[in-house]
Amino acid sequence: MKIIEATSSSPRIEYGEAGLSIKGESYPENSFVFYAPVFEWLAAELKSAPRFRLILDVSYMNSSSTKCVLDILDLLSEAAMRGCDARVTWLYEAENERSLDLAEEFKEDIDIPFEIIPVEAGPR
Amino acid sequence: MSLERRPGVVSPVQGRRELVAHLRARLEDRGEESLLDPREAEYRELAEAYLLLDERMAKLIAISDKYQGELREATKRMQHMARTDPLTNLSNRRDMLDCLDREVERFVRYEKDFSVIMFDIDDFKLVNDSYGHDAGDRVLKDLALVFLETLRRTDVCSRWGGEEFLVLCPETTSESARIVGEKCLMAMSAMQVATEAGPIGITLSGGVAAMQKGFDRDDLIKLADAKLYAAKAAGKKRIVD
Repeated sequence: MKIIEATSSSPRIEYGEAGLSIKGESYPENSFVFYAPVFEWLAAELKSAPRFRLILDVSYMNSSSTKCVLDILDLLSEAAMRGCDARVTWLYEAENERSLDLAEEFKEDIDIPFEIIPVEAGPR
Repeated sequence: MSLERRPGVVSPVQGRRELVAHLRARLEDRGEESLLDPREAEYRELAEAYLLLDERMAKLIAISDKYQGELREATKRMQHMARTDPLTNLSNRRDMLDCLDREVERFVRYEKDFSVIMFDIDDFKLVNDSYGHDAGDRVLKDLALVFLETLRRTDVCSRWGGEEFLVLCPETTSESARIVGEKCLMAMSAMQVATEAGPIGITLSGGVAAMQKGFDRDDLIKLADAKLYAAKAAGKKRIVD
């Protein structure tokens, strides 16, 4: 399992055989550079993975991060067409309606199973 | 949209970067002589228009990212300021009220014990009157540091009002909260606050209240206030629970 630790403007990313998880806020200065290693790994992993789980728990993302996530979803769709059991789980804080809107936009765009789950804000 | 109706997905050219590279290569390959073929000329025109639009879009996204980043940082700073007391950097009353509401909800749902301690600086008016308001501010700031060093990481400390501080102790019975409060009193009595008129000693009083069934947030605060009043009446420099 590889881990990219979160910063104030970039999310924590975990990736390995089980799948890929992105958690936090995503507005790095250059999203394409930030997501490049993840993208490269994902493209290779999806060539042979029989199943793949993507967990998105992103409370805020800028335009280019949105584009990167769309690219990731496209890779998953392609893998699904080759027979990979690819699934997406989108977690969002129940009060964060913007995050729900975004999830629904993403969900419309792809045909793989996409579940949207509200999470209660925990104690601080 | 079903996958069958997305021919783009199975095209040999996938994704924006590949398409851009493909178009550039093709434009270079064919060169100027391709203009003689009207279909090729039209293709060329469209490809050039696409590449131009793609470049502009990349620029717009970069500009949009820049402003979104600045806006996000500004929003975060604003949210922090809205919940922080500027003098002591502790939570302010509004933040504490939200924390209390959340803790009350947890109590109702999971029956999780919690307590609060209402602290008040003894004879703070005398400090201000005798040493000036700067000294008073120094006392408040130093006391905030004592709280931060003495309280547990899970406790939340707020500047509730002028010289009143309300501390929320999650998962804590009134006996334990009393011990936490005594530690704060001890830590404060062990230190001197530096003022222009020389070091001065400060004492605190505190009232502890534990959450109870049937209580709402305001009942709990009222009880802590009553206990604080009892501590003052009993001679200050003490915690009453």
